[in-house]
Amino acid sequence: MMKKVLNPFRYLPLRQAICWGVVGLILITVFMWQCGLRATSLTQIDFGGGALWNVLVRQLIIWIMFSLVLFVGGVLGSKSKVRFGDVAAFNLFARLPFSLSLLIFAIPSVKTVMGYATDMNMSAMMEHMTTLLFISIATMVFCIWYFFWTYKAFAEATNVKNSRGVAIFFVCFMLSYVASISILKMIV
Amino acid sequence: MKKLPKICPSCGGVLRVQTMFCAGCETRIDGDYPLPPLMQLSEEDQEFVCDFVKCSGSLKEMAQKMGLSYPTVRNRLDDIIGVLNK
Repeated sequence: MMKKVLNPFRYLPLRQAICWGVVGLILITVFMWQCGLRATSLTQIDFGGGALWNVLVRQLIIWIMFSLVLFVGGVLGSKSKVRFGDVAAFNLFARLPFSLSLLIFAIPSVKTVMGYATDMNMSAMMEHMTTLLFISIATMVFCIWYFFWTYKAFAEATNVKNSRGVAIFFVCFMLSYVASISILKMIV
Repeated sequence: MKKLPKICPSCGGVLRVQTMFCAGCETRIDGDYPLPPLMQLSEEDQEFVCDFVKCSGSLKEMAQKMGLSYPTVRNRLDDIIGVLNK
């Protein structure tokens, strides 16, 4: 059971991965739209708001762009034949922990405190240190989970593992992060 | 069932076949033969290859039978191909 939690990609049929991933994508898109959130990079969000289609397009761009970069990294680094569908499906499923972390904004006090953080209202933030600490710890746990699963998804989909796999994954992640900032800035 | 040793316990080299023996008529054949390529794989890999043949070469069926994802089964096959090519 623990093995399946740590690395579900060894056991997960592709069809299930894509189904759960799409369900997660749709649900988190609707949630973000409701909360006035939008993605500004691979791992960042803000209270920019926007129409539902805007939030969805941003999510899709992040998913497809990251999958493409990982696919290219896999093709260059793997001795096996790499399929884009495998990389994309597993990458979408691996994003579920990150989507789960955003549900923290359903808590009104969290939304309020993050609003203060966005406005750089330090005095107001200092009054809510406990909430800030909770947000920091919770998001850190989910982020670690997200990075771990994303690496495992990449390793299983491309058969690039160990130090070589970690190095290629790191490079792909950084490239995707920088590219996502630039691309998403172009969307109004 | 007894396990067939493939690696020399003394120097770690690959073992070769020198004697084949018939239990029926006690005929003994001496020579110097390399191990067949498939015999050089680990037991788990040999089992995998047998299951692969029994599944008519369908990785999809293998994945369902083994309870693993398709890419994982394909990666296993690629690793075995890498070993055989050496």
